Amino acid sequence: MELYQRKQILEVIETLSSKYLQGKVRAIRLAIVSLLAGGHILLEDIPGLGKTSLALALSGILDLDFGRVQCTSDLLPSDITGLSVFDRQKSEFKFVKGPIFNNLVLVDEVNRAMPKTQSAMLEAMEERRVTVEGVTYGLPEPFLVIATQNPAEQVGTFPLPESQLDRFLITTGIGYPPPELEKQIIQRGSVRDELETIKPLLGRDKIIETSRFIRDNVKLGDLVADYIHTLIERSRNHPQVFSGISTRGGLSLAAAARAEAYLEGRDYVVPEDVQQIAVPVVAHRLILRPEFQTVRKEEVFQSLLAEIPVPMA
Amino acid sequence: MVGVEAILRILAYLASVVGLLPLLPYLPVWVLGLLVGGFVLGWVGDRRGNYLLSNHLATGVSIAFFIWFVSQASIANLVHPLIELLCQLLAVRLATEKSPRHLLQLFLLATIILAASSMLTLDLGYLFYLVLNILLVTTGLVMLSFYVTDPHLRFTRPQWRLLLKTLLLLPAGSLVLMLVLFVVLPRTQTPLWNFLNPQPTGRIGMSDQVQPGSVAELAESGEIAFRVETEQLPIDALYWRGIVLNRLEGNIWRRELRNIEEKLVSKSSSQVELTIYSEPKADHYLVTLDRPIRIADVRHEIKSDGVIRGRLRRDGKVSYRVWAQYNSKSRQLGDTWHYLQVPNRFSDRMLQLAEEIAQQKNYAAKIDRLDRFFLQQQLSYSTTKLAKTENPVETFLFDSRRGYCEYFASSYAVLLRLAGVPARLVGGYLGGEFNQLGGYYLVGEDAAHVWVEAMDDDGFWQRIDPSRLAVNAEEALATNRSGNVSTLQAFADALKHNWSRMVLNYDLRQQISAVRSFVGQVRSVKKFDPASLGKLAWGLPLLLLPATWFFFRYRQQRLQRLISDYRHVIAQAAALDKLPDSLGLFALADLSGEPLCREFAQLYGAAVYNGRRVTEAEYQRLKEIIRQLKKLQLSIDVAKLCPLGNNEASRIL
Repeated sequence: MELYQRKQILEVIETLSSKYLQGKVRAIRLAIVSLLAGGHILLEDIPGLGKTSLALALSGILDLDFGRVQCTSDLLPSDITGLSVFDRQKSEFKFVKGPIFNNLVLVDEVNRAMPKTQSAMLEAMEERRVTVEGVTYGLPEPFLVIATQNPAEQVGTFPLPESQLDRFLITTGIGYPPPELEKQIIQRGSVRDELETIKPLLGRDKIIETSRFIRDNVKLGDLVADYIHTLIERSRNHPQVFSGISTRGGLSLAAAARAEAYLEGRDYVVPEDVQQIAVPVVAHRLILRPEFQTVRKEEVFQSLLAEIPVPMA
Repeated sequence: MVGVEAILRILAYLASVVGLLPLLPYLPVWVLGLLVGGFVLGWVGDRRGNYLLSNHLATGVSIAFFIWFVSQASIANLVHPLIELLCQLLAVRLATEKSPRHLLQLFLLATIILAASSMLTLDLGYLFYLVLNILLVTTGLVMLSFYVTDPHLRFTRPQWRLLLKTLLLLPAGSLVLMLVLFVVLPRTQTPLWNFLNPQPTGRIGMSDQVQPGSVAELAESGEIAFRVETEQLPIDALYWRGIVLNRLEGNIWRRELRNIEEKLVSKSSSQVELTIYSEPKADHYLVTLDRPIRIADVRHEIKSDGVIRGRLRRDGKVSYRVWAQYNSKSRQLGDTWHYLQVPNRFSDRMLQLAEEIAQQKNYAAKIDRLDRFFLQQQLSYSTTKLAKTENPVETFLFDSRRGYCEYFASSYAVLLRLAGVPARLVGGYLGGEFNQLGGYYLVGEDAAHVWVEAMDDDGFWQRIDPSRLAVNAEEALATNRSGNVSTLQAFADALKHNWSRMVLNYDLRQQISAVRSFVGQVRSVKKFDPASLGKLAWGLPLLLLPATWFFFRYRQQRLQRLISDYRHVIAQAAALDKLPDSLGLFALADLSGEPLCREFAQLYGAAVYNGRRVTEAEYQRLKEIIRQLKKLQLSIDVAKLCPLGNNEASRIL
């Protein structure tokens, strides 16, 4: 049995990873998961590894509107949401939409924006609407924010607080390409120009329908729900963890696991889907105890995952 | 440096010898020969490193011995063939190679043989052998665990000393525990808690003397006196005879042993056979149905007045069979004067009453007159608010007019004796509840009763129950006789009865006969009787419920078994003891790259993770996959089975 649109979605991933974004299959896949699960993705990596290319390529191939915000410390909330401008001829204020009114928004170096701006943007992400001067404007569907931040830079940044991090469905890095591939990329030159001419393979409506299909038809049984619950429960009692996974974290994990199961070609979620997706979905939500600040959250969570038995009967 | 292997062999031989020692006098020569042969063959084999008796041969010989055992054994002759079989098996094991498995069998056989020897002999030596056996076997088992890990393990002398010291702690601890469990506990007849909280000794029930007026109130105890397995009897026949009291001293009726013969005139139409299960009691009188003819299964002494003294252990349950005739009469042979004996202090009104009765012409008329007096006095049967006086009989008859059976019986008998009618008291029990389910009468201590036996004009003793002359006799005695018991209570009591009969008393004969009667019933099912189905119907839900429960549990567990089988196969393929718990089925399938594993995961996961049941067809297919995987001799790279680490790897891609 072939699931609705799965072939096309896999083709998108295949095309992107083989033609345009070599060696980034995992990041692409996670971006698709997050698009299908209705969440947002935070890419944490140093500049120059293709975060922007990823966003551009996705918007191109999925035929989505693309908006871009380059964060700086003087960026104002209205620079993202848009603002009202006075129209002299009609002698009235006219709302000029900001870059957030696009299907796919790339928020570059999100940790450079000041907290006020960050918070305005993240709120819009969560609520999927913007209220300016008393008027509420809905954001277009599908809506995916790809935010990036550079973990190495510390001067002049405002690191996202944990409560804001919790709003991202997925946090992941991109990583360096393997040496062979990197050599090829160097040899061939940037693909940025090709990305402009990329042919769309899927439409907006199809994406909306697919994510609705996943939400309604991919079943998450009792065993897997138990498994997810055990996972978040144990994260709360872990000796290295100060504050474990929230209920929203559990919800996000379930939604992402559904999308993952769909990509795997199943209409039911298995514990392996949860395992597969858990680290990018959940690790950034953990708050470690002060004495374990130097430990990587991913590793803590990885060890937790390895402890919990998979339910089988 | 001494190797573990050598020590283990020595321990095994020693344990075998200790097991056999108490049996030696009972074994036939040829079995002894076999055992010696086994020792010699084994020892030589140990030396040379190869054994004359190969494993297959040993199995064959063991089977042959077993067939011999089956041909010899019968219910009558079970113990000897069984012990000989055990010795033969031991001989075979001694002669074969000493692999860990065989060593374990040797220890086990030695222990069983020692246990079996208790069927033939149980003297003090047994305790000694038991202690030795425990020491040797526990030490052997620990050594065996070393041996299994590394057969060539060797220890230096100080290491041995240290090891032995620690090893001896183990059996020493278990010996103390055993002492409590096996020496102290079986010797106690009552549960240990009762021993710590001793019960009050004064109890209600039948006693070997009757003294009306000694207590002001009779409390009800609710304790069980005895149970009687028999057919259902006429209600008037339910007088359970215990003791005959023939001598009156002051106010107290006692039993005086005299050799006065009585002859029972039997009426075989009323003969019944009963089996009585008596609860522990303080006196030695065996209760029977009035009147007993013969008694069996217990050492006893029967008197001609129908009183039976058993030679019993104190505070032990006892069961015996009784043949009794409830309508028979007994004729007094010889003098009757001592049945007329009375003390010589009586008040005037007593003597006047006795005088009046004595004027009647014969025994029957005198008894009739006395009955009329009792009825006329409007006496009431009561166990509470009894007057305590110097002269309870007189107070009862003329003043308070309240009392229980002892008052009625003793005043009746006194007056009869004063009027010249030979009379005596009989103590025992009255009535009982018939348990339809178990087919037995349950008689409580509350049913204890005293009645009168008086002589009639033909010289026969006749039973007279003066308590029936009370104005409220119907109600008062009815409660004793056949209180309506609910079915549930009857069922619970029947269970209890059978438990103490079959299990606590541990009556082998009874158990065998139970099996026989069951087999008989199964055979008789062939003669199909539709009416019997109705009887069975009520038991059906009782059986069905647990059966369904077990069925569903089994169904649930079979999936768990399936998964653990599957994981076992995969773990073997990866040369691991156990797969990591966090490794799911689909992850396993991906890692193994085996299509069968993928099919298993999809088939199983589609059902279980979808929240639906695995169908029978799917279950069979899953089993088939496991079978095929076993045949496949799959091998999986262990390094790959680090399940979630590859997340890291693919991150970098």
